Amino acid sequence: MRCLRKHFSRKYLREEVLPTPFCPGCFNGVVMNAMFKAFEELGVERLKGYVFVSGIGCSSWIPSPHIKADTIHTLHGRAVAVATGVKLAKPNLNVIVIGGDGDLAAIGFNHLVHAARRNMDLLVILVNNLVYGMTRGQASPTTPEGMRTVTTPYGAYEPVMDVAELIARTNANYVARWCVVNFNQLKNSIKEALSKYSRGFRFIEVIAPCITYVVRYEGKTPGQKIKELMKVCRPNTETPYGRIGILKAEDKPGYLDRYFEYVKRATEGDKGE
Amino acid sequence: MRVEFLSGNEAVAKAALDSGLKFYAGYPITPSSEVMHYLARELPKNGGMFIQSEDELAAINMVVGAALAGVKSMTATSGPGFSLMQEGLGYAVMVEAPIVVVNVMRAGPGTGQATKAAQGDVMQARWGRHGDQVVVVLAPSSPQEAYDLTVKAFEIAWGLRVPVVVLSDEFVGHGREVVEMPDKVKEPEPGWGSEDYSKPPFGSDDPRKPPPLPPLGEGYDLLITGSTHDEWGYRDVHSFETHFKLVKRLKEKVLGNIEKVFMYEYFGDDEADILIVAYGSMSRPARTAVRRLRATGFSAGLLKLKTLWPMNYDVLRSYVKDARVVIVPELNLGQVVYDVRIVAGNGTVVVPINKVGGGVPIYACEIVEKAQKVWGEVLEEALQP
Amino acid sequence: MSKNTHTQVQEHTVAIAGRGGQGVVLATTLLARAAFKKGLYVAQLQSYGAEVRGGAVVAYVVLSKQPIENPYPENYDLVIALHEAGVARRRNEILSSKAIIADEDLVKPIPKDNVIQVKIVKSGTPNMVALGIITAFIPAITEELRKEISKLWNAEENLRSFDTGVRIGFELLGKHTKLKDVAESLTKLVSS
Repeated sequence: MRCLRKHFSRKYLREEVLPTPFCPGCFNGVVMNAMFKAFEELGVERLKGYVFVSGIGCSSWIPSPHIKADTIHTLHGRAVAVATGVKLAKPNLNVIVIGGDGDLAAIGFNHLVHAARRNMDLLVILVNNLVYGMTRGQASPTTPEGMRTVTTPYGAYEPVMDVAELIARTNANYVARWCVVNFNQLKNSIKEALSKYSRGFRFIEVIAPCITYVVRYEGKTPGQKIKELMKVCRPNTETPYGRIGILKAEDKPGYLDRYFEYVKRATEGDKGE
Repeated sequence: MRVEFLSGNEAVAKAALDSGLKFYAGYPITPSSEVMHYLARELPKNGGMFIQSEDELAAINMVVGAALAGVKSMTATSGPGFSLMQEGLGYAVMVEAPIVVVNVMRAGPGTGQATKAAQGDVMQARWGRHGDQVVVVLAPSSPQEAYDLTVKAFEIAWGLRVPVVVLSDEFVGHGREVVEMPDKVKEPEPGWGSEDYSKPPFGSDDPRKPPPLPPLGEGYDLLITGSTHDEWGYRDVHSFETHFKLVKRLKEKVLGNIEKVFMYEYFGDDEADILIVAYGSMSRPARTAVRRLRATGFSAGLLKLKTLWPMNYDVLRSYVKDARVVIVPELNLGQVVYDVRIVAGNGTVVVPINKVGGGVPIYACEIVEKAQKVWGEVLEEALQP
Repeated sequence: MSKNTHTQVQEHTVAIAGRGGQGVVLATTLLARAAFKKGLYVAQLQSYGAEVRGGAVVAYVVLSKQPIENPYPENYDLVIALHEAGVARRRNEILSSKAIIADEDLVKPIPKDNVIQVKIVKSGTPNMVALGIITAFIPAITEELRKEISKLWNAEENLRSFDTGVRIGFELLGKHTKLKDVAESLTKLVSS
């Protein structure tokens, strides 16, 4: 059967690269959809002026090559650093980083936490699938204790890192954590982070367990997992993935506001000695 | 013309500003920190962005981001910091980001001697990344050349969309000398001034011509990736043809312009018997050595390499072929001497002089003594029946 | 491509050897800047450890009427030694130098006839006394140096020490004929 109307999201996509390479049932599609819905509701017709920066990992393929905008696919872990360079070089661009737990919480955590400390004017979406999904599902800093992966064949024994909570403790302006089953809240958060809270560091963690290396290994179908997540991940409650909801929402001056203040001091007589 | 008394590190910073630098990211490390000290003071006042990054990995990636956004950008580092930047340099090669990386060499490996000059990073600057790639490596010998070659570095980086490493050392970086600077430097233009944004941003029919670099945010929907990609940036991590074509083009883009990139100076007798091949700080005692040798009746010459990579082996060979003795003084255990050995024929004796650590230079007298001793041995051998 | 002939290059070097905290690098920087303002080509280099205070320091200035060919001389025309640590760091270079004026308290006796040991460190701020002594060998840069020193935060005391140094320098020049050659070659740099 032929669709009479194109799906709204196709205007944000490079149609020539479809379909996506994600596994059937992958939650990356949900994150993508929530983001596009947010753009749609914000009235963004064309993503000119937006730059999407990602690293290495499944979620890094959400923007590159799919999103029809300027996209930079960087090295593993370095997305936030490249994004910082882009934002500071061209402050009028909207720079969005999308990355996974390996990318942002492990190899790139130093960049993430310092961008948060600086309240760098970036929106960072962490798609937390609990493992390194692209490379056979090795354990990551967010892999739940006891979970068996190729690098923890007898069950993960390292304590888990609560990324959103850590970032909330820095100077970041906006921090939220949602599960893919909280679709509307996630969409609204992205919307908010691009409109009401449009400056400083905005961080949204999305719990999106890897369909192949988490859900399948648990012996569940995607449907069963979604049902389970809907039960566990209720907004504003503590969950095994940490607290679900908006952890922080402020509108303090961002890095650029502060930098331009600093420049004013430099040009108005402060000798810098 | 402006004449100032500057350290090599200050000269690098000044040259960058004169070339239109608008973004600097860096992490403090001895002996390169003065570059960032200078820019921390000057960039904010000149409409630029300065950021002290959390580490060198961040610094180089920020610089790549800024360069892709169309802004002249640079970072400076030393020793272990340069090691950390190798990953980002490789990425810059792949996405063809025009960046300038200054490495003020100190004695390594490891933490080594942070305040002591060395020239041990030549091979690392050339080959430090995984995979096949070519970056341009320039080696200044004085604060004056630190200025001149940094200006050149921006020109080459933007002209060819290739990372350029300015390989300075502690002697050059911390030594202060008189530097003459033009009143105005022409801001380097992408592709030496001929950019057609309708052409693919990652492909070119003419291997010598780099593809255009449209700035971010102007609606070109750029697809930039460090993975193997086709001429429009679409990732292709499977096919032989795409990868081979890409890495070959990235190499030929630089080698095809070697006459623009390879710089050197010669001082001394034509077809000298004793040739000294030197670069960076150690080319200066080498020059004194050549003068002294000539004053005592020897036929001697100095080939000073300003570009260390890519090496123009034809030029090197043209000087080495006439020499009976080639001396290569280096503040390391022997690196550029391999280039000389590649081009030297059987009749040429290649002798390295190696010294590193403690902030001790190779003195002119040591070069003279070595040259005379080896020349004596060569003569003796030739006179044997 | 330059093709110079065998022309003699006239480069003269003045060094100060001491210990971190004595202001050795600052003194040579001021000397270099003053000489630069007098129209000379200068190169100022130093060797010191990672530590700010306490380590050995040797700093020197190469002076010439032409662009400096080689800022790594194997010995110096004039050395002011303020501490044994600095002498130890560059022993060969210093001991083969033309004239050495060493502190009599902090530098071990050097039994060579071109070494003169006097009180330097106890005469005032060590680096300023050293600068003063050097100035006696190149009187033409005295005014420029005084200007540079006046910009320092403790200008008055520094200038006093500097003047003490100048006096010591001229006394030494009057007493020791072997210093004359060095003074002559350095003086010639600026006067003609």
